Amino acid sequence: MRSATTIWRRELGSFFASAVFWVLAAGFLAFFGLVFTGYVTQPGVQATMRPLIELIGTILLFVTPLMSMRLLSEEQRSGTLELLMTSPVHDWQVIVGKWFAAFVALAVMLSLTLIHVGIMYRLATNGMDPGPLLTAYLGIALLGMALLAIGTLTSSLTSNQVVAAFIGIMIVMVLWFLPFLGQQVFGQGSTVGTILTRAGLSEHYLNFGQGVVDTRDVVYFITLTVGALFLATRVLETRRWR
Amino acid sequence: MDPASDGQGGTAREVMIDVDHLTRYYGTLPALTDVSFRAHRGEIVGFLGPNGAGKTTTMRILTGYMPPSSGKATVAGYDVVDQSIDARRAVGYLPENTPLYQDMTVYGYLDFMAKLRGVAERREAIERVMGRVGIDDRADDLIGRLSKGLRQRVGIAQALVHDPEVIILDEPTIGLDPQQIREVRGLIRELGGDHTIILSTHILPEAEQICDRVLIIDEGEIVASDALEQLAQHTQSGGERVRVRVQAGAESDLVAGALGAVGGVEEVEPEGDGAFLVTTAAGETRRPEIADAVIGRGWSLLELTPVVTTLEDIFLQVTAERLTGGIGAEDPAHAPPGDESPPTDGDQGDEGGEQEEGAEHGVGDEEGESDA
Repeated sequence: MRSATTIWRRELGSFFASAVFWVLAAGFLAFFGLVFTGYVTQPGVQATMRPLIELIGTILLFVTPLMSMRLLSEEQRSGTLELLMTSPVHDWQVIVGKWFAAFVALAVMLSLTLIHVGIMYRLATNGMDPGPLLTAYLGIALLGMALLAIGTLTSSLTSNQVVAAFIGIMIVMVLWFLPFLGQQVFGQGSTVGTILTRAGLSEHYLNFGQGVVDTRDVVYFITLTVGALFLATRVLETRRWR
Repeated sequence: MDPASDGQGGTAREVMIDVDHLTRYYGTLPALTDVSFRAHRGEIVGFLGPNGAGKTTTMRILTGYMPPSSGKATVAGYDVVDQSIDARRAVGYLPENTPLYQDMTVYGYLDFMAKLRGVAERREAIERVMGRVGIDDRADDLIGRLSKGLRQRVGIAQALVHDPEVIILDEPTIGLDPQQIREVRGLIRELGGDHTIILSTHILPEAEQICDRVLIIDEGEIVASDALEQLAQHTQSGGERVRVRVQAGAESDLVAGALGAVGGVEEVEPEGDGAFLVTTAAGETRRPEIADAVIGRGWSLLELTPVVTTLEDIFLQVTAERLTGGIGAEDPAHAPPGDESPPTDGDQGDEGGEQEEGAEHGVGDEEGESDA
């Protein structure tokens, strides 16, 4: 575990030293702030976090693959991966360390949205229910975990960052719209439709916006994360055999 | 430092690297075929061979980057496959082209590598290696802004930071300027004795200068493996070779005839411009007789130099033997076709900076001409 810690700390430093991260963070916050203002200042609409949660989710579909694209692709391109893989470190420690660094960076980015929440809290005349807010942020964290794990996987597949990001976005988009696909194509209530709905990201994620934590949703995201990280580790291992 | 004196009582030295019938395929392509060798504590072993010969593959197996397709290798007593993590801990590795994190400072990077290798007293260790490679004043510099030579030193520093028993350096001097090359070579020589070092190079004089022992690798096989002296003897079976130069004006045929008449001379090759390459029978020198033969006929003797067999000669001969099949199939004095100049006395480095010390660790007991 100590090696994984060493790796994520270095990687996090790399995040904060890179222009990509700050550009992403600035873009994310600007976009978020814009839409937030639109929601809150709209007269006659109930001030609520729910649309915002959905919005954050959709933005994350694009932001996380761009955050994770560098993780292993860059090391493969520059050759530094060879030094990492010949250090006394297990392959899973490399993967977990890198993924966790991206997650911490994302958490830093998301924590800045708490400013908006604070503003809303001040504006709310009847007070705010903190329950849905907490579950919403839990949902965002779980979604971010899973998306970054998928991004880590695609980054392990190629030494080209752009390709890694592109494949990553494709995969998470498909996963996100799986419920929509299931219901439109196979019909609501059909077996395939139900399976696709359950397999998709959006249904599980949006449940957190209701102020309810369903164990199934939590298990879904954790399974997705562990699965993607496991596959990424295997990809790294097969590099040794190539 | 005498390597034989450390620890082992000077008798049988500890085997630090044991490679046993390694074979490695890339797909169906063999990159390494049945390679076996050993390296002892304190030894500096050079992998010599053309690009693509299998040097890097061998190193990658030893460093635990990739497993062999078959065969077995141990480093510091640890199997590189079954005890990979332990084996990796005992090795310091500098991959080809010195990959480093450009966005880190020198100190930050060395600290990271030291942590990964579980170094206890990191600050001391880092300061020690930075001093050793001469980058103590660069601690806070970004690696991306360093010159190639300094980056190479950072690369070597990270390979040393955990004080490993085995150091593996892949092309450590490539891309450096002559001054930097000399510094890095000096550093490697210093490190031998305490550490077992394997380095790869395709620069012949480099192996000659640095290494105690050379493995010549070609097309994934070890084609020669010995101390340089032994390799030289093996190649120099024809005995001593001497270059004789006579004042222009003397009839070339006459001179050749006179030289050929000297007892013990086996072959005389005219090299043009009054020079001849004389090969004498094994065992003894005929230089006094040759000198007498020239002077006795009233010619002026301009040069009489024993030609030292260099690693280059050995390398060319060994690879030529592979081509023609069998030792002795090719006259050792002849380079294979395509080599424009006959191998001489080590002044023919294949890179600009090689020449200064070309003959310093020359094989045989006599030096060639002093520096040009």
